[in-house]
Amino acid sequence: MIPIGILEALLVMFGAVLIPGFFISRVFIKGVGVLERLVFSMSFGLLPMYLVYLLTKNGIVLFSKELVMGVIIISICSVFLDARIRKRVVDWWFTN
Amino acid sequence: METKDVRDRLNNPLIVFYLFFAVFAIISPVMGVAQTSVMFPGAFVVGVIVCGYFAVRRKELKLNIVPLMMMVFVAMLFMMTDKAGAQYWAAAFGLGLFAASLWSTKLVDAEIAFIIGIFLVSTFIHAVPALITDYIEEIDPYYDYKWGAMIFDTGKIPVHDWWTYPKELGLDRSLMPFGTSLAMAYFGEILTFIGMSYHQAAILISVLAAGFSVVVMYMLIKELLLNRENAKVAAMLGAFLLMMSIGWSTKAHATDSENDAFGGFMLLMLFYIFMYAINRKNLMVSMLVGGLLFGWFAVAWDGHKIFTMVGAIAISIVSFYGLFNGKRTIDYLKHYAGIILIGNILFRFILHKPGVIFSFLMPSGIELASFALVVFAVGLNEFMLKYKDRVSKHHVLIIVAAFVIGLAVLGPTVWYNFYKVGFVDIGQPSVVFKTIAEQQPFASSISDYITNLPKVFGLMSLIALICAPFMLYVGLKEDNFGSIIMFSWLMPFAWGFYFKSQYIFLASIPFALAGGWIGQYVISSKKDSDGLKIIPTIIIICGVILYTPIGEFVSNYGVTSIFYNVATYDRMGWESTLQYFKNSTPENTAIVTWWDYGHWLTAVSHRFVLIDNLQHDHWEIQDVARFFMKVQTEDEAMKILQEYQDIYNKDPYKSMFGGVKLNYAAIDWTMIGKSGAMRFIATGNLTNQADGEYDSYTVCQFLPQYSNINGSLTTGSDGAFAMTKTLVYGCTYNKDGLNGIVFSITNNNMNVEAITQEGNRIPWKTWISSKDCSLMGVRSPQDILSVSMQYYNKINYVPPMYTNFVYASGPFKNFMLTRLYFGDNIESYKALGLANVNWSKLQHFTKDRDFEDGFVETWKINYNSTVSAAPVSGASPFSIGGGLK
Repeated sequence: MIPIGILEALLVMFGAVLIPGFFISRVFIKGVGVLERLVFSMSFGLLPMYLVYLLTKNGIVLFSKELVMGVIIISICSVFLDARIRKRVVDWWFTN
Repeated sequence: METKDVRDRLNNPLIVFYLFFAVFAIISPVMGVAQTSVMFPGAFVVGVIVCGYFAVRRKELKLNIVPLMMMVFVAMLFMMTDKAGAQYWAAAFGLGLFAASLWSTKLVDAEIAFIIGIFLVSTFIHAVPALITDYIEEIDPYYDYKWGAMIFDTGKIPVHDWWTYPKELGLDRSLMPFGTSLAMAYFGEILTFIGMSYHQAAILISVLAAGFSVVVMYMLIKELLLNRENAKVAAMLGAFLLMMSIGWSTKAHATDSENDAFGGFMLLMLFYIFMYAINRKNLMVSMLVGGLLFGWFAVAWDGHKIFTMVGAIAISIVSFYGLFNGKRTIDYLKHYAGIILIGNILFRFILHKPGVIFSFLMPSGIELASFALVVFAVGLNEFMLKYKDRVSKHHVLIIVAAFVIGLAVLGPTVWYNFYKVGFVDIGQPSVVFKTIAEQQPFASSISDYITNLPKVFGLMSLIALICAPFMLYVGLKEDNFGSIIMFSWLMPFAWGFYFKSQYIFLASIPFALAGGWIGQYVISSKKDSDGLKIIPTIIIICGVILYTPIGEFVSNYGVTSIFYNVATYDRMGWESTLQYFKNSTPENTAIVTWWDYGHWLTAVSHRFVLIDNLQHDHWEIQDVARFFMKVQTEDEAMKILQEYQDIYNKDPYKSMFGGVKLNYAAIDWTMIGKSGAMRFIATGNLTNQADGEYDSYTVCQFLPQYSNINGSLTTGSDGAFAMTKTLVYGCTYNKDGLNGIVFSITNNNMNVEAITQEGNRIPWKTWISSKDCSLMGVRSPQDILSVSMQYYNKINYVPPMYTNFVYASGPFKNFMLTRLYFGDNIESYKALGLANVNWSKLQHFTKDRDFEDGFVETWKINYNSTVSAAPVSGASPFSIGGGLK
């Protein structure tokens, strides 16, 4: 039995990789099954970390909570680069 | 799935039973051993009978075999509650039962159920160390931990390590891959939303890697064996072997905050992306996804070189063979080169010196050699096959010439970069590395290798080696590139691990991968059961059982050790010392101690040290070794320290930190056991790497089984009766031939005798004068003798300083380590005639503190110094974020 604290932390950490990774992967990888999508989500989920490292190592910005959250939000919003998603959102907005 | 289908599937009583028993098993660790050993096995046996009955009634017995077996295993584990770790295994099997029940009740298909199960079980078993402690484990993880903490607290990426190696003015870290440290800081920021922080992220990052890796391993093997029969079985087997690998768990466990496990996860993923792209002929995936991943990988872990090397070997094999069967391999090169070239560009935007935004670093020797090999092999393949009409007459001649030229040009480079100084490093027999266990070979002979390999990778590792030639054959004859990748990954690491035990983690991945390969050949139809496929099927069934904790008691494969990769007594014994230095000494304080504690002092106490576990500068390591284990006068010792203090008094230390004061020496009990290594380094020749002296302190440990604590009635010379108690201390090997020491205590008299190797007893007075030796201890002899008598039946729980004497002969009597660590109580040893030393009072060293009953001791160093006690600006490497120049 894992104490709630460790369970909570693990859930957050897994989610921090998979959620932005899922949205980024939707833009670049299409037509794959559930398990392939899972692995691509893990792969793309590391991209925000690369971006954070790039920005902080080159002195563009300091490493901070705001930077991390900003990069994650941008990663999630990157799904709108996919034309199909944009069309779906626009259709939904103007239908309801 | 239609709603009606879901309703029908949920209308299955087995769901309730399985869920109930799964939850029972999962929460059993918190219920306590006493309760589980009485009721739980019985409850699970009843559960198996009831569920079996329902399964038979529903004519679904075959579908329910797996969850029923899980319940049987849990019942067995509950009967073994006296075995360490049994309660954790019960919970792990409970998670497996939950996943298996999803499949057997048809809620998900077998593949999804397997993925859910293996992910949950792998995450759990590798998270168990976090249930035991929240100390970061061992020594090396503190290095990555330190940098991650600096990133988290200061917001800056470190570019220079000012903490260590002052003769080198610290170490340039601008080209150091800190990706994993940054990842820990990244997760740390996210965890602040739930009231946690960096430390929890650091403890758990390897659990994240362990959970993800088994899923990626499964998917990777499926890609490697795409479209082959039973590829899924092979994939399941490989993922299972990785999860249960002791070698893998040496790094992939909670409290290990190093970059290895995270790197291993990325390596598996990179190979998956590569194979996925090749199988679907999708160059975009290679270049975009693979290139991005390689770029990130290279800034997080050095293991990206493994991809370069293994890919090169595999493509070269296929290219050379393709000369004979007409297979062109230019496509492999496109994918391989796409990943590597794009990745190499991306990482250079991060790993560069300050002041520039891109670096033009030369790739490492192994990467250059690998890439050159691939280009040569594919180039030859293209030339011969594209122009085969023109060259057909001279076909054989050209191939032979190409091999000879290739071997002559590339052979030496590949040999040097892989074997001598690259992966295997046997070309580096340095004095310092000879003292490090993990730099030594894993085995002394082939038979030793075969005997010991299954103890770290399980039985299937031997099966993997046996299957290696078949992998090559199948890969070439049946055109399965995946089998060639497995072969190319396994062979270098199987060979490298023989020569260097440090590769236990690196080799765990290919052994699991290749161990799963045989899974393709299991029985999949009734017809197969009459054929040869029965053999691999039996091997796999036996192998899988032997990897479980049930099999542990049969095969001696200590899989339960996965749970106990935690910080040892050393680390915990140092905690109070580390906090003392952190809270009670100025920020610009330096401590002289052995390299093992360097990372702890810099990471936890945020103080300077002369050397650390990087073993970067062997000359400075030798200086410290000489300070402790060579010089025999205080003046000589101070000469060594003054050299370092002079460096600390000048720039850049003066301007950056207000100077640094090398004001403390720290010694712990384990340095007694390390004295041999320190002496070897102190007396070795670092110019020609000639060995130093082989000698050390001798530790004499209390042996209750040979002692007579209660005493025996003896008669004195005057005829009076007396009770004589006997305490025996057995000594480690030494050149003097001392095997043990006997203390015979009668009333207020004590008689001490030395026991020789031949078993003879010699009065201690005679021994000490003939051998120029002394017996000493951290505690007084009275303390040691009385504690030994009082706690003789709990001796393993007593701190070693209370149950061990230290025997020093010749120069060992007068080293600084001896005079400092044993100086407090030396008079009591002299008073009892146990020691014979003539030490003058130390002028420059004042005893500072004892920690954990003398497990660690610290001394203040006094010299005439003009450096102020506290830095004017209050700066430390921590507060200025790693020293931006």
